[in-house]
Amino acid sequence: MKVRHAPRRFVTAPEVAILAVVLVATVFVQGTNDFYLRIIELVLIYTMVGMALDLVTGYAGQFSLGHSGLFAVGAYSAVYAYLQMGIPFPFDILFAMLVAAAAGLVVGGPALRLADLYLALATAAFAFIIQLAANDLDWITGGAGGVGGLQPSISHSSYSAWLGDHYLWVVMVVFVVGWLSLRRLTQSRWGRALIAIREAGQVASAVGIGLRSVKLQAFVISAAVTGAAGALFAHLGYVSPDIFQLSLSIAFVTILFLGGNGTLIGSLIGALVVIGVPQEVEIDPNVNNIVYGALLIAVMIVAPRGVVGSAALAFDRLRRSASQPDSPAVRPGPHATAIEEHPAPSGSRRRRGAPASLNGSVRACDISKSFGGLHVLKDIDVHLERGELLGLIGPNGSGKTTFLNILGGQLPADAGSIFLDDMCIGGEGPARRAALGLGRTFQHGGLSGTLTVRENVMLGAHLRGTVGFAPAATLVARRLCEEDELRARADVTLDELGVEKHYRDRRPPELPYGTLRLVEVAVALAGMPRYLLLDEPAAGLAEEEIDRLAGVLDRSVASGVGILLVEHHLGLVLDLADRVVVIESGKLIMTGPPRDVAADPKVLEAYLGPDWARQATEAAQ
Amino acid sequence: MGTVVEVAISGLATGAVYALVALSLNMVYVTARVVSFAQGDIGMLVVAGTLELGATQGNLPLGVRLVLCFAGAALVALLVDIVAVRAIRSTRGVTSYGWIVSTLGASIVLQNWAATWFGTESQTFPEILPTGTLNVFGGVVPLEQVLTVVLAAVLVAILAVTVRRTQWGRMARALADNREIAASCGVPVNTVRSSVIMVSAVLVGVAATVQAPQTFVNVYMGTPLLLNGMVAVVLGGLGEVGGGLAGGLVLGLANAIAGRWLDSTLVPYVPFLLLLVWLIFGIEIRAATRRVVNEVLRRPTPTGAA
Repeated sequence: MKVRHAPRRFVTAPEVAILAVVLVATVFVQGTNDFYLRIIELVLIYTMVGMALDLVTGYAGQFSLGHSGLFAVGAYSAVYAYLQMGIPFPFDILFAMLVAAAAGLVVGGPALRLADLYLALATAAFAFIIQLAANDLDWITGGAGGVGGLQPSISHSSYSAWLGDHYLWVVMVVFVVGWLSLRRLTQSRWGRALIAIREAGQVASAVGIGLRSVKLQAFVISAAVTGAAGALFAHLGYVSPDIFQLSLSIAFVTILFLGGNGTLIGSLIGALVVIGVPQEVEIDPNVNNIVYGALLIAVMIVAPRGVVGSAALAFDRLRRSASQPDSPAVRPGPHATAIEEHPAPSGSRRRRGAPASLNGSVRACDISKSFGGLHVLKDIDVHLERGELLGLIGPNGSGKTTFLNILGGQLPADAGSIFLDDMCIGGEGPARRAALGLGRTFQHGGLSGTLTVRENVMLGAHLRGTVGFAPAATLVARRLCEEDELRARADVTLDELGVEKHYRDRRPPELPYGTLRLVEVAVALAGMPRYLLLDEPAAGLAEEEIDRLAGVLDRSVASGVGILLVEHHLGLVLDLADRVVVIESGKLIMTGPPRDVAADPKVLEAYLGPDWARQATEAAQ
Repeated sequence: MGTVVEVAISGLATGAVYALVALSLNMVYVTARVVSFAQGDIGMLVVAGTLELGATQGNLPLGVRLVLCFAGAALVALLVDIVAVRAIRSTRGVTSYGWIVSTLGASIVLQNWAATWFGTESQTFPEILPTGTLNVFGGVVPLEQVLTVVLAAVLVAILAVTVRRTQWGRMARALADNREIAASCGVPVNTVRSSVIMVSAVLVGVAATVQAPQTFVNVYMGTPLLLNGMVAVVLGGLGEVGGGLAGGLVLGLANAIAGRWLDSTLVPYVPFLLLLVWLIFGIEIRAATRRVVNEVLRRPTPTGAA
C-alpha cells in the first residue's frame, strides 16, 4: 500500500509547551532556595509514579494499590547498589529499574489474573509484605531506623558528586525521558491495545491482542518507571520503612485521579496539589488529608476521568460541536429481519469464477456444546473454504452464535475439533486464532467508547503493525510511520464500507446504529483476516447500507477471504452465499446451494412451523 | 493438649472479631455491591469516640457512651454510603473501580477527622468483658477470649434469625437478590439499604470494641481491622456470608498457630501470604480439593470441573 507520510513530528506542540514550562520552572527554582528545590524534585518524582500508575490503572483499567511496594523496591535496590555493590550514581537507577521490573513481573504475572477488588487486595498485600520486609531486612534497609547519607553530592566519585549538586536537573531529565517514552508508548498500537483491554476486551482479543501479556507488559513497564522514581527518591538522602506504607499507594492513586486518569501528564497537576501545596501552605496535616480524601470522593462524583481528563474530554466535545453541527442520525429499528421487508437486493453482485490457488479451510468437526443440561450444539460438522461465502441460518435460539463463539475461541467446545488450514486450533485462545487469520464480529458491538471510530478500526489492524512496545517508546520515526500506515489502512476500510468522513473522529456511542454496525465490520476487516465470521452484520442496517455491506463482502470473497455469515436477513444470505448451512435446535438439518435450501420443506418447517410450511410448499407448487 | 486448647481458643477469639468484620463487609456487599474501604474506620470511630467522650464527659457511664458512639458510627456509615457510594453510580461506565477510590477517600477523611479531635497517640481501652481465667482440658484460657467467641456467636445467631424470620430480613434478602425486582414489589429499597448499612456499622463497631482492650487504640486501628476482615471475606468468597464467618475463624486460627510456633518476625506475613495464595491459586486449590474428595469417595468427576 502506498502511504503518504505526514511530516515527521518528533515533538508535538503540546509537548513543547509542557517541556518549556518544566524547564522554566526548573531554571527559576534552581536560583531560589533548597526548600523549593526539594518540593519540585518531590513533585517530579511523584508525578513519575502517577504516570506509571496511569499506564496500569488509567489506560489498562487494572487497579493497583501495590505501587508503594514497587517504589520501595526501587528505592532499596538503589540503596543496596549504591552503598553495598558500589555502583555509582546515576547507574544505580538502572539497577533499581531492573529489580523493580523483575518485582513487577513476579507480582503482576499471577496477580493480573484478578481484577478490581481482588487485584487491589493482591497488590496491597504485596505492598504490605514489602513494607514488613523493609523492617526485617536490616542489612539492606537499616531496619526501622532507616538508612541515610544517600545524597550523591557527598559521593566520593567526582562526577556523581557533580550530578548530585545539580540533582534537580537529573530528576528533570529522568522525568522528561520517562514522560516522553510513556507518551509515545500510549500513542502507538500498543497504547490502543491497553485502552481496548479496559473497554473492549472481547473485540481486542478477537483482533489478536493477547490480553494477559499486554497487561503484564504494562505492569512491568510501570514497575520499572516506579523503580526509577523510587531510586531518585532514595537519593534525596534518607529512606525508612515508614515512608512506604499503604498510605503512600493511596497518595499515588490520589495524584492519578486528581490529575487525570488516562492522560499521563495530568499526574503533574495531581502531584502539585498533593505534594506541592502542603509543603508550601503550612496547615495541620490532618486537615490537609481530610481535604484530599474529600477531593478524591468529589472527583469520582463530578469528574471520574480526573481534572485534566474530564477537561480534555469536554474541550474535545466543545470543539467538535462548534466545527460540525450534528447531522440528523437515522436510527432504523434494531431488528428488521423479515424477508418481506427486505427483498433481495436487485441485480447480481455475485462475482464468480472461484479464485484459483487459494487453498485452505476452517473445519469444525463434530462440535458439541451444552450449558448445564441444555444441548445447544450437537455434532455440528461445517467447513468453510477460502474464497467462499457460507451462510449459516436457523431460527432464534438454534445455536448459531454459540457456534461462532466456539469457532472464534470465545467459548470452549465440549467435544469435537477445529482445524484451520489443517492445524488443530481447538485449544487456542481468540488472540492466537486471530493471529492465524481468523477474524470475527460480534452481535452486540463492544467497541471502545474512548477511542475514535478511526482508532477503533486501527485497533482492528493491530496485527498489521509490527512495532513492539520497546521500539514504540524509543524509535519515534518508526512508530509514526506505522501509525500513518495503520491510519491509512483504517481509512481505506472505512471508505469501502462508506462510513462518512465526519464520523471517523467521533466515538462509537455518538454514531447512528447502522453506521456503528458497519464500523464493527470495518474493525474485523482491517486485520485482513483470511477467514471472517460475521454475526448478524445486517441487523438494523438501512437498505442502502446493506447494499454497501454486500458489495464489500462480495469483494472480500473474490479476493480469497472465506466468510461465514450468520444472518437473519435471508434475502441477503440467499443472494450472496455459495452454500448455506441450516441449523435448528443445535442440529445441522441441511447444507446446500441457496436455491435448494430456500425450497427445502425441512427448512421452511423450521422457520415457519409445520402448518405454514405446508401451505407455503403447496402455494409454491 | 493444654497448649493446643489455648492456641485454639485464642485463635477463635481473634477469628471471631475478624468474622464479625467480614460479616459486616459482606452485608454491605450484598446490598450495595461494593466493599467499603471505610468500614474499618467506622469501627475505629466507635472505640475512639467512646474514649474521647470518657475524657470530656467523665460522668457518663461506659454503657451510655458506647450506645451513643454506636449510633453515631451508624450514621457516619450511612453518610459514607450516600456520599461515596450512591453518588458515584454514574461513573460505572467510566471505570469499574470508582468505588474503591471513593471509599478509600472516605477512609482517609474519617481517619484524619478522628485524628483532629482524638490525636494520633495510642491509648488503652477499658475492659468491657469480664476478665479471669478458665481451665479447659488442661489449658488455661482467658475468660474474655471465650466470651468474645460466645458474643460473636450470639450476634450471628440473632442476625440469622432476624434475616430469616422478619419482614425486614425478607426485604433485605430480596434487595440483595435483585434490586429492581425488589423495588417493583414495593420494597422501600433505599430505606432497607440504609438500615442494612447501619446494622453493618454496629457489627464492625462490636468487633472493634471487643478487640480494643487487647491492643492499643489509635485512629489507625481501622486499617488492620479492615484488612483482616477483607482477608476473611476473600477466603470465604465475596458475598458468601457463611463463608466470611468461616474465613475469619480460619484466619484467626492461622494467626494464633503462627504466633505460637513460628518465628516471631514471620508472623505478620501470615495473613498477607494467605491472602495472596488464596487469591492467586484459589480456583486451583478448590478444584484440586474437589478432585481429591471425589477420588476418596470414588465418585466420577463431573464434566467441566477440571
